[in-house]
Amino acid sequence: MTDVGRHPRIELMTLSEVEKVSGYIGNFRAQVRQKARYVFAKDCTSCDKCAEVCPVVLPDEYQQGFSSRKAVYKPYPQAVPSSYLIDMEHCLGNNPVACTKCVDACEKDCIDLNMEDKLISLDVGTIIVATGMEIYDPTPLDEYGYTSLENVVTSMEFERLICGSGPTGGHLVRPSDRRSPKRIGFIQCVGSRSENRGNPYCSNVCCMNTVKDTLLIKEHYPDAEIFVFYTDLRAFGKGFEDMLKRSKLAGVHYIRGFPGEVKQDSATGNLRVRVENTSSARIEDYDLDMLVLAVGLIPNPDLKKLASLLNLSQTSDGFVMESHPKLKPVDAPTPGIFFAGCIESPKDVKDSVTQAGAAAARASILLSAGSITSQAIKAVPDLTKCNSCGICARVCPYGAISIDLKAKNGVQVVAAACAGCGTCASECRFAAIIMEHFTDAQIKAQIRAALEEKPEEKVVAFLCNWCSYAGGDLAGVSRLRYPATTRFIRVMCSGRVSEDFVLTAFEQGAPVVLVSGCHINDCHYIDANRWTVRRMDKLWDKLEKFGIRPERLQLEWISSAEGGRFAEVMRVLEDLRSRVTPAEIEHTRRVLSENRAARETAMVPIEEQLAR
Amino acid sequence: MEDQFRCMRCGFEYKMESEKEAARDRVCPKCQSNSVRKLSAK
Repeated sequence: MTDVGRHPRIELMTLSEVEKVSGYIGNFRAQVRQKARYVFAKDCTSCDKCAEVCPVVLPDEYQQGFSSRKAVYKPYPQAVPSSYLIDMEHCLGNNPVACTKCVDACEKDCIDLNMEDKLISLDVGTIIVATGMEIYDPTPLDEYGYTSLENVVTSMEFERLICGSGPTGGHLVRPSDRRSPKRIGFIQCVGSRSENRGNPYCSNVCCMNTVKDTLLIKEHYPDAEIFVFYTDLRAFGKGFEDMLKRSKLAGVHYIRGFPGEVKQDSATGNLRVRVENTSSARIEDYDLDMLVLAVGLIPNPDLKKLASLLNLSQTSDGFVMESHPKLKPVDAPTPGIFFAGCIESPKDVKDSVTQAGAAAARASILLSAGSITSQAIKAVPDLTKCNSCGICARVCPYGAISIDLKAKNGVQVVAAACAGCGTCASECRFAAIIMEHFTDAQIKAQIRAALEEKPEEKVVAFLCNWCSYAGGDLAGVSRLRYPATTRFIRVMCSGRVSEDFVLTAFEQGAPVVLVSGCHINDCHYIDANRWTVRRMDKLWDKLEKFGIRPERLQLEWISSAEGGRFAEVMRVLEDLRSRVTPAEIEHTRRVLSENRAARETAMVPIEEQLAR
Repeated sequence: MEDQFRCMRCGFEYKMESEKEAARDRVCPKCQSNSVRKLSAK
């Protein structure tokens, strides 16, 4: 951190928050609010005289509340810049001024209680997001007594208790009586790997953190007895298995089973932990002086706001989603944005540093090249058709479409920001957006060709390029058998499948139509497939209104790894197809044909589109 | 708030919290199909 602070080409903006981001790769503009620290950082010598006279005493967040700080304070000893700041929420010195003791005590006059936030606008080519994580709060897990029992602490609190720069100077004491604990227990997976309580994912770092803690304790207090309660110990990675072996050789007891109850002896503050040992198949009681909860990691609570600013996609566990898990692991789906560290998933320091290096390299490749080669599949607006309704701008996952709703002068598409999902074109009711290489005319021509002969024997399946089509490929190379009646139409994203395509397929005589794409939160185009879901809901309603069985339209999410599921879905579709009667198909064709004029009132005729 | 859903493959109807539904795939609890239609908006 100090090196970063000193680097001549890095401007470190602490106490700052990004409020707005606009633009696209190579041309981002970020508005940053640099909050007032009320102390001139360049002049402050960290002499501590201001803090000595400050009358406000608060829990020190860095020391997990085990020690106190003042309203004027330095967040932690190694903070960069090495300067004090004022916590104005708790300071008595402002609005109205009731105390100016720190101002009087500062010999260098570097405190200004009237300092204000600054709004800074930055033009940047790329953005790297590394906002870290938070730890799981174990309060809801009552059985461990975190809020009621003083000697039950989290692994983060334990870290401060055993750290040389911690509140006890590295002397391990328990909170209730400041006595050195002799029997210490660790409970693993607190808030992790649980579907109902906590989070379903593994937090990655807790096992090795506990192993490290046990070795530290054994090094300083060889007589201490340590018990680790676990279900699985995950010691993958270089040197980790050795570390675990060393811990076991040092006499640490590893007990497979989760405690169901923790009780405290009110006289001594000692704890009794009851656990079902699944190795010995017995209920066992352990008397401990202190209990450490190895809590999991959770996404930063502010991540949702940041994700909306930067058009980032979040997975179901709340972390951000990478552009591709194997080929672009540090790229956001929005070009020009990268991430590093626990914003993407829980990881240790080594993995975070590796990822940070990769993100920096990816960003510097773009910056040093100075220009980018973009793929050719883009949305192109046809301003002669556009009525400036703004729907396309609203649905674009990349914010690549802008519109002046007052001027009503049509939409503008930033080609560098457009990823080519086609959601805008599908939602446009006026055919005012042409998806190059996936035009309406091209796709309709494919539908017609697929249903040219014996349409009643065909199933039309619209597959997204990245997941479902790749899933079909996998089914093929895996030699999985499925009915040959399905006709696949590849689109870049399921978001490209417009209402019109589905109705055209039915009108051409398709008994069953499938729309298939990436799983929700796995969409290659951030969240374009959420618009597919909304469109499908509307389509099912519409089919019912027309007297067409809505069950004939199916939606399935199939990933590129789900070849087996792909084949299974194709078998189900064939079964559905076999139950659609010729009378039903004829009725559908007639109804949709009669209705086509109304549907196409605002649409451009196919011949004209082909000419365009 | 709960919404009502109907599976368009097997016809099974069920209720689910809107937030949970929005966070992940709609999956029919009975047949595991994703062809699940939201009914409560009607």
